[in-house]
Amino acid sequence: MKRIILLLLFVVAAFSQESKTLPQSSLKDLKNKTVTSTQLTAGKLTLINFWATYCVPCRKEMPLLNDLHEKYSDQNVQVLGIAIDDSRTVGRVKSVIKSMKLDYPIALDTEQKLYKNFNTSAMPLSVLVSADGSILWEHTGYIPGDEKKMEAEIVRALQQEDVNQE
Amino acid sequence: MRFRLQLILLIQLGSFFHQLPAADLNWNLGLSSWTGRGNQLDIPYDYTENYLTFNADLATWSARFELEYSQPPEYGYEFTGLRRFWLTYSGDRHTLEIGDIGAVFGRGLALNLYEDQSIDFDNIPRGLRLNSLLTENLELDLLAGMKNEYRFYSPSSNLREPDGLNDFRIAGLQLGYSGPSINTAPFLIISQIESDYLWHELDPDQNSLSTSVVTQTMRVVQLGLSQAIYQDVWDGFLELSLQQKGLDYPIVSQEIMTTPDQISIETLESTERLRGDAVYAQLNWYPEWFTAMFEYKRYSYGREAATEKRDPLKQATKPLPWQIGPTGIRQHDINLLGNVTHPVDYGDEVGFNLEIRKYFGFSWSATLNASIVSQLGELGDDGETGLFFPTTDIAYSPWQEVFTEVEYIGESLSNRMFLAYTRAVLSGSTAAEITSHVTFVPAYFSWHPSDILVLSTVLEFQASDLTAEAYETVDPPAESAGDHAYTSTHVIFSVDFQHRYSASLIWDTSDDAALVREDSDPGRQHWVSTEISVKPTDKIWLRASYGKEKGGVRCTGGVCRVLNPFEGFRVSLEWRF
Repeated sequence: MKRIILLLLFVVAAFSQESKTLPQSSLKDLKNKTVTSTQLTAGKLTLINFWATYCVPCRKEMPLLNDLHEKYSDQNVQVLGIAIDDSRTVGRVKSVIKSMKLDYPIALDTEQKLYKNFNTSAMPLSVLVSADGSILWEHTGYIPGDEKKMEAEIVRALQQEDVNQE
Repeated sequence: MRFRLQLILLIQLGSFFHQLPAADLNWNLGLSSWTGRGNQLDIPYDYTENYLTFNADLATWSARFELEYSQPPEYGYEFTGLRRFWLTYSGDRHTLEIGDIGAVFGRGLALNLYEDQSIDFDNIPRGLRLNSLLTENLELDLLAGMKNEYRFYSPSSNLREPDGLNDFRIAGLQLGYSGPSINTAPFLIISQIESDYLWHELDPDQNSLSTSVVTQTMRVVQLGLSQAIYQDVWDGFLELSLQQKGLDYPIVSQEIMTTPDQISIETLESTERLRGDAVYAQLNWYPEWFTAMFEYKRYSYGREAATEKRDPLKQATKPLPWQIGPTGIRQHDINLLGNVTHPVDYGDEVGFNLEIRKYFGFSWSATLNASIVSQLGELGDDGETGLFFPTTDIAYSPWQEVFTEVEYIGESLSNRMFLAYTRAVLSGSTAAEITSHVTFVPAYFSWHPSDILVLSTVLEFQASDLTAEAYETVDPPAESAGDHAYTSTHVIFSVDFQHRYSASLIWDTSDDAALVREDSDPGRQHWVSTEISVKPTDKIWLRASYGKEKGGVRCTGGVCRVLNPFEGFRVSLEWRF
C-alpha cells in the first residue's frame, strides 16, 4: 500500500500543473441568494479568504484583510471573505462582520463545496485569483506577519498584470 | 484488489485529464494522512488514516473522488476504497449533483446532510440533487438519495465504533423566494428509515418469552418553513418544522410477569405514530456602537429518559439523523471550555442565547455572552407537551454559561482575556450531578518581534466543583455523594519561525479524580506533548507530535483544530497538488 501511495505521489508530482482556475461553485450571499464563485470574482484580482466564526486566527486576520481591501480597491483588487460555517453557526456570520465593520464582500459556503476543492482542513485559507480566474497563490493558516506576504503577492500579481498589458 | 483497481483508475483519470488542453481543464489532488496511538477509556490503540482526493473541473462540470485507506481509523470502522464521489453541473440557473450529496434546508432543523470526519459523523446519502433558479426570485431545490449503514453514536458516547447502524432513503423539496428584504422557503421531506429494534414476544405454545432484534421500519413526513427578514440595522430569522413518524413495530411499554406456572406480558402503552416539532428564532441588531444577537430554540423531536437516549435499539424515538439545527451555544475555541461544552440534544432542548459585541476601533473588542438551556420535561417525562422557556431546576438537566471576553489586536502584540462561569447538570438515576466551572484565561498572547519570528502563549485555568443532589421526586431520597472540587490548567508555548516552522509545548494538568490515574503523583494528572510543524511550501504541511495529549481544541501554528487524545507519536501530513 505504501509503495502504491509513493508511486502515486511520484506520478502526480510529475503531472502536476502550474496554473489552475477557480472552479464554478454555488455560494449564497448574506441574504441567502445564490451566487456563483465566478460571478463574485470575475474581472477583479481577488484575494479569497475562507474563514469561520469560531476560528480564532481568522478573526485576527480579518481587520488586516479589510486594510488590504481598502488600500488596493482603486486598483481593481478586492478581498472576498467566504464563511464556511455550517448551518449550526452560520447565523453568527453577520454579527461578526457587522461588529468588526468589515467593508469587503462576504459570501457563504455552508456546504463547503468550494472550500473542499482546495483539499485542506486548515483555516483560514487564502487564495489569490487573477481577474481571468487563474489561481495565483494559496496559503493556509494565519500567523502574525502573514498579511505582509499576502500584500507582496497582490503587488506581484498587479505588476504581472501590467507586464501582460504592455 | 478492488482498492488497487480504484487507485489505478484514479491515476488513469489523472493521466487522461492531463492530456486535455490545460486551458480547459483543471484538476488537483490532495493527500491527508495521520497516524498515531490513541487512548480510549484507558485502552491504547493504533490508527492510521489516509485520504486521497481528486478534484477536476471542465467549464461548468466538476467532479470529486475521495479514496480512503484506514487500518483502522481514529474513529469508526476500517475502510479501504472509494468512500465518496460526486459529479456536478453548475450552470447559471441550474445546478445538478450526482453522487454523495450534502444539503441544508433553512438552518438545518429539518434537514442537514453533512460530514464531520473528526467524530465519524456522516449522514450524506448517495443520490441526486437539482437546484434551479425558476425566476430571478424563485429557487427550487430537489433531492433524493439513500444511505446504508448510517452510524449512530449515542449522546456522550465515548466509543470508537458506533452504537448502532441504520439505513435510510430520503427525498426533499424546498422552494425559496428571495425578495429585496425577505427570504421565504417552505420545505417538504419524506423518508424511510430501517433500524434494529428489540422486540419481546410471548410464545403461548412453549409458555416462554422470546426476545429478538427485528428491523423496525419508520416512514416520516416533515414539513416546515424558514423565513428571514433583512433590514439595515436588524434582521430576523425564524424556522419551524413539524414531523410525523409511522412505525411498523410499535413502541411499547410492557410489563413482564413471571409465575412458576405462567409467563405473561402486559402492554401498558403502545405507539405507532410519533410526532415532533422544532422552532428556532434569531434576532440580530446592529446599531452604530455595538451588535447584539439573540437566539431561541425549542427542539422537541424525541423526548425520552436519559437511559433511553443511549439505547441504539430504539432509534425511532430519537431525532432523525439529519435533524441538526443551530446549537444556540458558543462553539468554544478555549480548550478548557470546549471540553465542558454541553452536547446539544436535538430531540429535547429549549434555550436562549444572547451575545453582545463591541469593537473599539480595530484593536480592542469586548464580547458578553449568556446562554441557558434545559430539557423540555422532567427526568423520565416523555409527554407530548413541555416547557417553552428554559429552567434551572435540576430535574430538567439545565446548562448555563455566561462569559466575557476582551481582545486586543495590535501591530505586533495581540492578546485575549476570558472569564466564564458554566454550570452543567447531568442526569443520574437518583441524583443529579451538578458541575460548576469558573474558567479564567489571562493570556492568549502572541508577539511578533520581527517579520520572521512569532512567540505565542496560551494560559487557561479552571476551578470546578462537582456535587450530587438527590431528586425530590425519588423516594426514598438518595444520599449525596459529597462535594468534589478540582482544578485544571492548559498551557501552550509556541514559536513560529519564517512562517514555515513552528514548535509547541502543550501541557495540561488536572486533579479531577475521574481523570487522575493511580500512578500519578501527587494526585494530579499531567499531559505533556510537543509538536513540530513544517510547511516547506504553501501546499505541504507536516506535523509531528510526541507525548501524551489530553485532547481538545488546540491552536498552534496559525490554525485551531480539535485533537483527540493520544499517547506516543502522532504524525499528520497534508499535501495539495
